[in-house]
Amino acid sequence: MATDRRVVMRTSVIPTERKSYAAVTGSLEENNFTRAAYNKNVVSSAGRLGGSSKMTDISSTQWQDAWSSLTSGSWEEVTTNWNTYYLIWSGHVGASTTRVQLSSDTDDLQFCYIKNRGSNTVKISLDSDSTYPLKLSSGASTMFRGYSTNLKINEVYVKTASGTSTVEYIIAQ
Amino acid sequence: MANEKIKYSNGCSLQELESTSAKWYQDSDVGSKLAGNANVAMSGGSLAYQSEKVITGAESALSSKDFIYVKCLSGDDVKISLDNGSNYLIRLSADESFASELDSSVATVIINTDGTSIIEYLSGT
Repeated sequence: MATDRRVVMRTSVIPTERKSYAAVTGSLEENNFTRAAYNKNVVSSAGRLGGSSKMTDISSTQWQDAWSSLTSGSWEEVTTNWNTYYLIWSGHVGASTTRVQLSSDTDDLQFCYIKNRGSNTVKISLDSDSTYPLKLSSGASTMFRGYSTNLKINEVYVKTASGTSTVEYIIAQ
Repeated sequence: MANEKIKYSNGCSLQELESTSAKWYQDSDVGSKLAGNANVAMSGGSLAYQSEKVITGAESALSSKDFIYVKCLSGDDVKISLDNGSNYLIRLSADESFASELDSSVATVIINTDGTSIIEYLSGT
């Protein structure tokens, strides 16, 4: 059991928009600087958004070692043969068009982080497979805290829009 | 235009307090810092940014968005509903942010507060 736990969270959002640049003519005796018209994505007027924060509401004692897909301790819970279990050694969980419940624990969700490690889009449900409002492109991650008692750990499901993928996650009380 | 994009990343570092001191270490269950990022195109080529704003109740209906970013700059906790205010499932305390792509099935996002909060948000369509 840990003495205490906390989460340092960091989010960065950079909106960009397409800007057109007019052609520019110009030359020296030996060099031609003429540039054709072109388009380029630049940071929008909103600028760079996000920031860091420290969240201390996470419990020092977690519901099980499997609160993180990355902990080697979760292998202690495995009772099937290693070559037939859906977890792979890297700590990633397989996802397909069939729903996957990240945990059956019924405690309030204090913190959740999910990353799509595969190449197909992953969708996330926060209401036990009823709707899938969040999605993650390949390589993307999201994180959130549950509000009050409205979101339980066992209500988080993932699945892919098509094909298969893998996710890594933290799901904490 | 449909060339507007949002490059976003979310990362976290789980930390654990060492048992005999006041020093924080990387959580021994997780073992590393985690992060992911993507550069996603907005289908409708539209970005809308709301700078620092005081809210005391439900804030604007953000409809049919591809992406949402909300930050609680200060004040009371902020709560987010992804189903037009029926259920508030996500909480943000001061300085915390939420950023995610949204599925096309999400009709309306509502941002609300437990009291008085100052927020900023960005949406992309």
